[in-house]
Amino acid sequence: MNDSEVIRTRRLTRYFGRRAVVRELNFAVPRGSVVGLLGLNGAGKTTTIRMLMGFLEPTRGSCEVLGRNSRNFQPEDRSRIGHTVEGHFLYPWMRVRECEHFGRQTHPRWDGTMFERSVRRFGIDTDAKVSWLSRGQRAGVSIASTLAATPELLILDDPALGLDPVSRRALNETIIEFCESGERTVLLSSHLLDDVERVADRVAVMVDGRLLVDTTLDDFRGRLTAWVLEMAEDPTLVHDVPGLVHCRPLGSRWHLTIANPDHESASAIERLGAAAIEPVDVTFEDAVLAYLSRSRVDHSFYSGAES
Amino acid sequence: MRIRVIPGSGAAIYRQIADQIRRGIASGKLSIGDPLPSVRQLAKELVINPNTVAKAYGELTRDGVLETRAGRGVFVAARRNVFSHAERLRRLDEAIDAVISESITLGFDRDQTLTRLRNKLDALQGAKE
Amino acid sequence: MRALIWKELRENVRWLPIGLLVVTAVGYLVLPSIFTFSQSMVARDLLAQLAIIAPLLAFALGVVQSFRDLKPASGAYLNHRGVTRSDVFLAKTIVGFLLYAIAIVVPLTALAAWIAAQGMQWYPMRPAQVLPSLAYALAAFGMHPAAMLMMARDASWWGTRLLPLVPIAIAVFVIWTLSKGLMWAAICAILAVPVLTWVVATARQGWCDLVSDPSATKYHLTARGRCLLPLYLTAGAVGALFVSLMFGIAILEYWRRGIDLPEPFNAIAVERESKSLWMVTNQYKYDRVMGITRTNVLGGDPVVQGGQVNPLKPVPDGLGFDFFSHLTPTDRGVVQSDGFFTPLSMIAAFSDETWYSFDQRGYVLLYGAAAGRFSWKNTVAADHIHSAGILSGVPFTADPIGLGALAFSTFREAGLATPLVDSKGVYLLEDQPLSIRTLIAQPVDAIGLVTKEAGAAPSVLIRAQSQLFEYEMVDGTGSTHWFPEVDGERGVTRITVRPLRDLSLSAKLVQTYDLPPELAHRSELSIASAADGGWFLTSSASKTTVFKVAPQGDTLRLAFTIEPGTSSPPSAEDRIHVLNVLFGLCPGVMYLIGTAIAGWVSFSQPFERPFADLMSWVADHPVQTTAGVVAFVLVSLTCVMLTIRASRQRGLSRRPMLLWCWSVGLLGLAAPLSVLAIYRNVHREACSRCERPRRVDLELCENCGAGWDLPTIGAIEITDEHRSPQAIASEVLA
Repeated sequence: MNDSEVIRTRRLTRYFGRRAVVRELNFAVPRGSVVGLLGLNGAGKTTTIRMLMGFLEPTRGSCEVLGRNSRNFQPEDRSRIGHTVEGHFLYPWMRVRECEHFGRQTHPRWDGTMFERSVRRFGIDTDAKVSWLSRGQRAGVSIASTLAATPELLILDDPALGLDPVSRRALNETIIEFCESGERTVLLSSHLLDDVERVADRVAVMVDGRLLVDTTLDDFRGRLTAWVLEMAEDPTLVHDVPGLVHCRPLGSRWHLTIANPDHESASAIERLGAAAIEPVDVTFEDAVLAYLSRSRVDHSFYSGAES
Repeated sequence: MRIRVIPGSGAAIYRQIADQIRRGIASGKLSIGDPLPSVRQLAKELVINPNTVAKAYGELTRDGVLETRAGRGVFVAARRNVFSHAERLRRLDEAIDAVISESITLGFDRDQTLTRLRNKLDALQGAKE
Repeated sequence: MRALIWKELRENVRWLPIGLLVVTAVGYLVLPSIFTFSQSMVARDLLAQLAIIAPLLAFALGVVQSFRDLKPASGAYLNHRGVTRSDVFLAKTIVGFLLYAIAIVVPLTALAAWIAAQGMQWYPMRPAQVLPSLAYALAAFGMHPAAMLMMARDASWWGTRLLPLVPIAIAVFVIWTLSKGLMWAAICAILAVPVLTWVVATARQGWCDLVSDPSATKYHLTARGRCLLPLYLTAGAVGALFVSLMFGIAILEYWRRGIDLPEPFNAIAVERESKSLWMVTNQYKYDRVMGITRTNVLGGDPVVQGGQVNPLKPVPDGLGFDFFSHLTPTDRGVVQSDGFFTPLSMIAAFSDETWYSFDQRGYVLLYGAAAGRFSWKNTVAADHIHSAGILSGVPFTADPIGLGALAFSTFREAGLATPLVDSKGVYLLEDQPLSIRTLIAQPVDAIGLVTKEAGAAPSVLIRAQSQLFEYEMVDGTGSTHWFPEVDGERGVTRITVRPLRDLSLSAKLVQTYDLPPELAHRSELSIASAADGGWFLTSSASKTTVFKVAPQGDTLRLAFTIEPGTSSPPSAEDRIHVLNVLFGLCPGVMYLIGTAIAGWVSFSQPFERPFADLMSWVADHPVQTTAGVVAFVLVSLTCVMLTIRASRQRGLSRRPMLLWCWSVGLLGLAAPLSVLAIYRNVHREACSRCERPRRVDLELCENCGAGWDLPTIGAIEITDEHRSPQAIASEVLA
């Protein structure tokens, strides 16, 4: 592992019983980047994160975080990684102040002012009990405690889930502020594509436990093209188009998203015999949705399988 | 001037920023020597990744629209011809081609298009003066 | 660590009121009631009530403390901090112990304080009565780490998930049965410490290693020098097997024997008329009408020196037999009622209802109704009667009333009150006025009665070391003919009892004898009277060696044999029995432990010969022995097959599989069970090259050595060039 990578997995695989949830994952996160980890529920994002954090042992393969195998994490390694749990779990009986206290005692490098600042951004009363807080406020406390530990790497598991627009903005601001030095790294699993497009510079898409996309945001957009074809028949039934990510009907027309288009794919599209062929823009959302929809079409969809 | 970004649109965010700065300079909202917010500041303001801002600034600097003065920040550069005359003509033709094809699609005739173009140029002139 | 402890405390302190409530309720339940005298005893009842409740509390606490933090979300929230799993486990254990200790100690201390405040005025209770329960509760906390280990394992609830509870449950049960009396309570408390340390260390290891849900290959804990958990689980498997075998044997035996058909047995007896020695075949029979057990003589034969007897020979009508009576040792601490573990008993001979308890300090405390409530009436010392509240005078060495009732059971059968006995003499306790009188003052190692002719009082025989002392009990007139005729059935204990007061009994030393050297070292002696005023002595009631002691003190050794095929229970019947098959199921380690105990016995007690006894039994029972051995071999073979199957399923390599197969000789059925419990399930998928199932947790196919193919998805992956799958594959290979 070279020094510029904070996360590196090698053929990381995890089975639950007979079912492979993460398959042969080769994934790297360069230092200083903000990586959006995208995927449907059950695609293996949380399982991957749990393996990176050393909470779950890989069935085979390995993962290294900050230069150390996750299986052998020592407390000082863990304290260099900030982590928020899916759903922003906090002990419901604690007061916000007690959360800060608990964090201070369990993290070696605790930055109390950082906690104060983050909590204030989310508009939280430090005397409030966690069980009284709204979901957005809970997220605020969770993120504040994570950032106050002054980690080098932030691994956030779906931090924006169920947040109101104000909290979402506060969350994004916090992440931007965290990584502005360019030395600290964020791995962010999310379902909110707009937010990912804003804050991330790299994107990784997991489909059914496999990593299909792992590149910069611009590279991802740049290497996808889309065409709208006017034809009666489903184009996927005519013949294969190389690099076809997804094909969806738009009224009487078909929207085709192609990855890494080349002459072969262009000629394959021409040979489909469409009445009209029109290239269209690919937005970030379109691109991700094309990948994610593919999973739903090809495979049975299971929700909540990760938890 | 105020820059806004809209995620989820057809254009990448760095492109949106670069385009808005170019437009600001063209419309005179930004003049030569005007300072621009630092990468960090703008990223914070827009809540976007600093690398995205850096990329937009980088492209504009490469095109000679902005210049970086060491230790002082980013400024609107004096117009320099970083491209050859032929290249500049090719780029202009490209842009005009797009306007023409759009105006034909929308059903405007030649005079209407020309008048419109002339009015816009006059307005720009007026704004500068 | 402090933060973790605080967190655990804060999270689980809400269970404390429940624990306090339960234990307080138990404490309340075991209190003796002031007005309606119930035989409720703090120490015994408290221990009985806590038997289930204390382990259950510890177990429940262990489950609730580990349950939440084993869920992914809260587990991640806790573990992503700079803490180790060991810290988390230890914090949970410390807090668990703290809460458990408070829940147990506070109510029990309150109980002890209450007892101390109440004193012994209306019940013979002392604060120390809570100590056995405390010692037991300390051991029972072992269920807490065991529960946490159970939660941390991910075995199936229908499989081996509960196995970690077995060893500690057995240990707790053993400590529970031991924890009787103060000294044993101390021993149990000392025993509990290593047991707790063991289970905590094992559970800690399990917690650290198992909560990250490791794959099967990383689970060979023995290979990593972590053998506590495998050892513990193996112990659990052996324990589970042993307990189920014991249950099986108990159920089979019960079903086979029943209770209405007792087996006949041989006994030596003295014929009443001729006073000659016989060997008879007896059978107990329960009389439903009278509610007593009678002894039926099925047959018998007089004993001839050096001859053979046929105990099944029909006995002529009109013959009656006196059986040998046992000399009751006075050092056994026969405690009929100590008010500590055993309830009070009534003294039958007293005119008012009087209950007594033997205090450990050596005094008999008399309790009875006074002023509408039960209260302490008198203290009886060996030399004097004191009033309630005073504990002084010469103490007894053992419960004299309990010993007296055992030694003088013939008196009771004749409807008389029984004297008191301890190791310093025989006493008479009289009512109205309450008094105590020493009847015989001499050291008493063992004491028994020898029946004389009808109407004559039995002689009292006292053994002191290797000497026997014979006393006659004479009444005020100096005659021994005051003893009432025993009418009706012998062995019937009468409800109404005549006090001895009017008889003004005294004891007269008749003669002193030396014990035959063969019997001098025997602690258990039985005795019966012979024709000429001497008696028969034997070390055990059914042995075929009897000593006849003449009145002058000469001793004659009588030896005889039983005609083959006539002894009872019949020994010749040597056929295959279902128990032999069950013994085949017993793991070899149990036989080893049995051998070790037998070796220790033969070493420490020179007169016991367990190995020779076993060999002679084996020689006498070839069929049963063969059946047992064959069953053991067959069961072992089956277990080897099961072990191989289990090892394959668990993906063990050849060497550990062979080791486990060898261990079948020791562990029996526990070997495959241990394999299933220790190793994790291995999942397999078809190999893309050799198409045989391969383990998913190995990098290379164990059949053909192929690696795993990268999944192909049809050229739609988008990755940075320098990190293409090919680049990474080459990096991995390099």
